Amino acid sequence: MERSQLKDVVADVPSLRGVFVTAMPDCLLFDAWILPNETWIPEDTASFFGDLVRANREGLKALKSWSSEMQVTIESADLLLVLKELRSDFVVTLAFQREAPLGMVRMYTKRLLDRLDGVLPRLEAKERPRSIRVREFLEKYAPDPHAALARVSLRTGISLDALRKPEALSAPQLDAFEESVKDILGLETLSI
Amino acid sequence: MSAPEADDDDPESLTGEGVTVVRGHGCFRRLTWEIHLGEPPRSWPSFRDALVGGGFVDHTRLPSVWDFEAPGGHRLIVLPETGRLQLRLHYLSEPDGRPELALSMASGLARLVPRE
Amino acid sequence: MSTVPASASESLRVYLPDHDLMAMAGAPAVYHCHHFNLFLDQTVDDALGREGGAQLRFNAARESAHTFLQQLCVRKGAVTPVEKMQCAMETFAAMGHGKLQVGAAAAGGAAIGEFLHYGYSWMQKYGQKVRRRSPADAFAAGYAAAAVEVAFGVPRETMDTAEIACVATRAEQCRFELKQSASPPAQVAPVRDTEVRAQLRPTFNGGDEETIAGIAKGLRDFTAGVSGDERGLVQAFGVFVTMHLAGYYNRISFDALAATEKRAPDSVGVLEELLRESGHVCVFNTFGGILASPEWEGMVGKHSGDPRPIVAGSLAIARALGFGHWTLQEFVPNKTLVVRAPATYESVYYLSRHGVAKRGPELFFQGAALAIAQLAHRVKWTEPVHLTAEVYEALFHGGALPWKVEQTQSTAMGHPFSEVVVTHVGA
Repeated sequence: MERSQLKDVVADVPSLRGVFVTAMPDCLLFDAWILPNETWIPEDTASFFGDLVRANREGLKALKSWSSEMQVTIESADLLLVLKELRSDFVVTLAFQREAPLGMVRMYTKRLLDRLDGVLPRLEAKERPRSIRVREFLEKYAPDPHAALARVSLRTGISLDALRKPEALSAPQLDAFEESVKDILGLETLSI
Repeated sequence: MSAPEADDDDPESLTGEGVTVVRGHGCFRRLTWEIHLGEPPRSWPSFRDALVGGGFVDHTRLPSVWDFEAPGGHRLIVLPETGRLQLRLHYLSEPDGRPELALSMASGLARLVPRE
Repeated sequence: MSTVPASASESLRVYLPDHDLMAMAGAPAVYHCHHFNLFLDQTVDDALGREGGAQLRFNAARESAHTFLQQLCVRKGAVTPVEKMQCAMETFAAMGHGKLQVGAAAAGGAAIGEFLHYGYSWMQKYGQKVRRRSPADAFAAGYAAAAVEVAFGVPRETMDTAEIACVATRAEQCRFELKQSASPPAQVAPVRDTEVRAQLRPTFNGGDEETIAGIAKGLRDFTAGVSGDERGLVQAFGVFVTMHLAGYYNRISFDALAATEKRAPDSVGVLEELLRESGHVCVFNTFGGILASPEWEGMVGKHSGDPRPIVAGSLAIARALGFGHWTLQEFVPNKTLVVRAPATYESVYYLSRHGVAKRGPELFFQGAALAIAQLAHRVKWTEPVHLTAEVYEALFHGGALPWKVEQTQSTAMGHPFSEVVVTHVGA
C-alpha cells in the first residue's frame, strides 16, 4: 500500500492525530500517517503497539476471555488510543484527541478498519525460525543489550557463535536459550 | 494507563525569561541541569555575595569550584573561570516538575545577577 | 555514640605510598559506581546460576567485611556489642551502601535495609525495563552477618543471612533474617592491607607524570570529604558511588572464573570477556562522569579535543579511585596505548590468595585500558557530553571494537610490573 492511500483512508476522520500500522508477527512498522504538526517518530512506536496487543491477547486467552473482536483502548493524559488486530497480519493503532467522544471514536474506528481491510495487502506468513525471533526479542528488550548474548552463552554453555546464528540450534539448545531469555527478562513466557 | 516517564536518555532543554536550562550528564531522573543565563555576571565575587544574600549556603571546598546549597536542598555549582553553572536538584523534588523547577531556579539566579 | 565521623573516609582511608592502592581500616578498598557493581554481580550470577552466584557474593561480602569490621572497631575504639554494631552500620552508610539496621545477636535475628546501594540502584537503572525475581543485596547480607560476628564474638564466617524481601523485586523494603550457619565454609587466610604491602615491588613513573599526579591528588582531596547522604548513598558525577571492599570484587571475579573453568571450560572465554567489559562499564560511566563534571572543569580546565589529556586524566582518576599507580608508558593517537602499573588491586589479591598466575588475570585492568582509548578518541569532549546507554551501545557494541587489548606483563605472574597494550585494529 502506498502512503497516499493511507492519507486518503483517514481523510474525513475528525479528532484523529495519527494511525500506525504494525506488521505482525514481527512488530515492524508497515505504514503510518500522522498530523503534520505531530513530532512522533512512527518507527519508535510500532513494535510496542504490536507487543501490547499480543500480550493482551495472550493474557485474555489465559483468562479464557479472548475473542477476535477484542480491542484495546487506552486513555492517556492527552490521547485516546485504540489498538486492534486486523486479520493476523496487522495491528492498527488509532490515536485520537483525548477529548474526542468515545462513541464517535468507536464509530470511526470501525469505519477506518473496514477501509484498511480493503487496502492493506495480504502478507505472506513468512514464519521465521523461532530461535531467531527469540534472539530478536532478547536484543529488543534486554536491559543491557550489549551483554545480552554473552549472558545467554554463559548461562547455557552455548557458544556465542552459535547464538549469533541461532537457526542451527538443536531443540534442547533452543529450550535452554528460551529459558535463559525468560530469566533475563523476568518473564514467565515469551510472547513471540 | 498513565504516560510513561520521560526517558532519562532523551536530551532536554527549556527556555524562558531569557535563561535556558539543558539537562546535563546524569542518569537519574532529570536531576542535573546546565544553566545558561542570558547575561552572565560581570563580577563573579558580587554574584557570590548575591547568592549568599539570597539564601544560598556556601559549601565550597575547591577555590575554582564554588558549591552552594540552595533553599530546598538543591545544589548549585559555579565555575567563575569558565562561567559554567550546574544545578543539581534534590532527589526528593517532584519528578514530573523537575524541568520547570530547574527553569524557575535559573530565572531566580538571573534575577540575582548584579547589574552594576 | 557516634564512633564514625560524618565522612568515614576522613580518618580511615589510607593510600599506600607510591602505589595508589587504597585501604580502609586495614582492608583493601576502591571506589566503584553502581553501573559497575550491578554489571559485575550479574556476570557472576550468569556464570554460576542465580543461587550459586548469590551464595558466592554473600560469602565474599561476609569474608571481606569481617576483615574490615574487625579492624574498624579496634581503630574506632568500639568495645561493646552495641558500639560495634553502630560503628558498622554508620560506616556502611558513610561508604555509600545505604541504611542497614541490624537487630540480631549471636544466635541470629533480623535486619532491615533502606536505600541499599545494590537493590535501590538496580531498581533505578533497570526497574522500568525488566522484572527481577531474586534479591540483589548479597553484599548487605554478608556485611550484616560479619557485623554480628564481630560485635558478638561469633567465629568468623559462621553467620548466615537470607534476604527475604528486596526492593529490586518490588518489595516495600529490604528485609533479612540472620542465623547461625549449619555448615560454615572452610576458612582461608584473609587478604588485608598487610598482605598487600608485603608483596609490593618498587614503583615507577611514566609519561605526563606531573599532570597525572597533580590531578590524582586533587581528586583524592575532593573525594576525602565525600560521604553518604541522609539515605546513606553517595550520588555524584551522575552515578551512585560506593567505597567498596576490593576483596569482594576480587573474590567474586576469580572464584567465578575458577568455578567456570571446572564446570564449563568452554565458557571461560565469554566470562573473561564480560569481566573485561566491566572495565568498559566503569570507565564509561564513572570516568566519563568525572571528565564531564564541572568539578573536573574547575580543577583541570576545559577539554581541548586532544585525546592525550583524556588518557592522562583517566589514569589520574584510576589512581584516585584506588585502582593502582597506573602510568602512561606509550601513547600514539589512533595507534597504541600502553599502561603499566607496579601493582593493581586485582594483581595483589590474586597473588596473595591464589599464588602465581599462569596468565594475566587482571581483566578489569585490561577492559578499563581499552575503554580509556575508546573514550579518548571517540567522544567529542569539546561538545556537551551525554553519556547515555545509547552512546555506550554505540561505543562498545556498535560492531567490532576498533581496539584490541593484550596483557603483556602481570605482577600476579611474577613479572616486575603489570602492563596492558591497547592497539588500534587498523594500525
